[in-house]
Amino acid sequence: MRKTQVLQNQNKVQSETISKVKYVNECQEFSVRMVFNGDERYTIGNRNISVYPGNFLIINEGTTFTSEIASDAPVNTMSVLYTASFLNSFHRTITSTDNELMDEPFHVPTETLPLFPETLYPFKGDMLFNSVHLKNLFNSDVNDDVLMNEYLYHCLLNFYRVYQKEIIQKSEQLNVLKSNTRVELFRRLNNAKDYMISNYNKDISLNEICRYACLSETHFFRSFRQTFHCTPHQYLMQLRLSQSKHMLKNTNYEVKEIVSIIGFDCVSSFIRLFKNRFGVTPGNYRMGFAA
Amino acid sequence: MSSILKYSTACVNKPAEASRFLNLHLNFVNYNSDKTAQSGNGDGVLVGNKYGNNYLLCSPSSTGKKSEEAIIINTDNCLRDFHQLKNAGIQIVHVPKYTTDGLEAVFADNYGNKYMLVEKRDYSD
Repeated sequence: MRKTQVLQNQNKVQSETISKVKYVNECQEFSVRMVFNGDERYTIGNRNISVYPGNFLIINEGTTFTSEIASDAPVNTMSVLYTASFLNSFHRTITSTDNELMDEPFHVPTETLPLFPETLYPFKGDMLFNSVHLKNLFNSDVNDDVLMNEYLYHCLLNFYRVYQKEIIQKSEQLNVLKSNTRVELFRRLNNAKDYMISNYNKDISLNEICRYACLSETHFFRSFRQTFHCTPHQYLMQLRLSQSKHMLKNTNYEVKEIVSIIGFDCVSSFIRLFKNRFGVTPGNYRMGFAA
Repeated sequence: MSSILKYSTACVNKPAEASRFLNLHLNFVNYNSDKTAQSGNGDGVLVGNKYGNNYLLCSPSSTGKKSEEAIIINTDNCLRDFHQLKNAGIQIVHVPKYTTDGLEAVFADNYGNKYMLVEKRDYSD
């Protein structure tokens, strides 16, 4: 059953652990959507996006979407929803100087907020640490509105940093002169990246990804490297290895089962790649947590 | 089995007051005799947190001057502890800020001792 907590400022936290469910929603608030195990599949327009524990999804106010958990095993999800007034106030606070804030303390900005790309962002670092603290507080019996709000403030602060790094800085790396072209190219690259994340365990081809992104293979390959500093194939391998790491740490699946789940054919090549990437074999990595 | 206890030393203005502050607001317990802890006569006071992984010897400053360095207190949740201290009316020196090691906040007791609350975070994953 979905549990919702509405704070005094009308920001909300929603969480549930559920299997086999489908929702159709119109997002009334800007929201951050995350899962802590399994996956949740979202449909926004004609895009299908799967959210795994290593990523979170942003959905803007007014977007219509469906979300679905298809697995029999229960999936733990959490969403944080921010009202437009809170988001506006936060945005002004972190984008204005102290002088501006003191000169016009009650100014209500007329300009609109940046429309955050509705894409997958890496769920790690401070964003992950603070979200886990928020989840623990939410699931406890403690009903502390002020502390909850503190967590929500920090989650938004963390998101702004992720947004700066993943969207602003990466889009600036594209060698495109015209601003509109850069924005559109980056949007298509992000669609491709979301497609790869959502289908990381399937046998997807470069041609398939390029068709999804509406880019020629050469153009896509070159632009992807400029933006993400690796080839699409390397990116896919990183995704698979990161997912395997999460499963080794948080599940009891045997290594050969994990290999199959993440879409590898061969156990030995998986072990070799894992060791090359993380400097430790999958078995030893897991034993490090069991000790 | 080794019976050595590892602790860090913090030079403080008034050891007994510093330990009392840690007892009251951060759930530390004293490991010295009650007499030593309460006397405030300049002896050090050994305190430890409830997890048994953070021990501090609050020792009097040899110069008799107030120490400018903050006492490091490790926590598993900086925002929660900061919030509790704020609610208790403790003087905040700086609000939680992000560093390369995690999250830290600084506060002070009534005797000028500073405490840095540190939540270490592993960003390697």
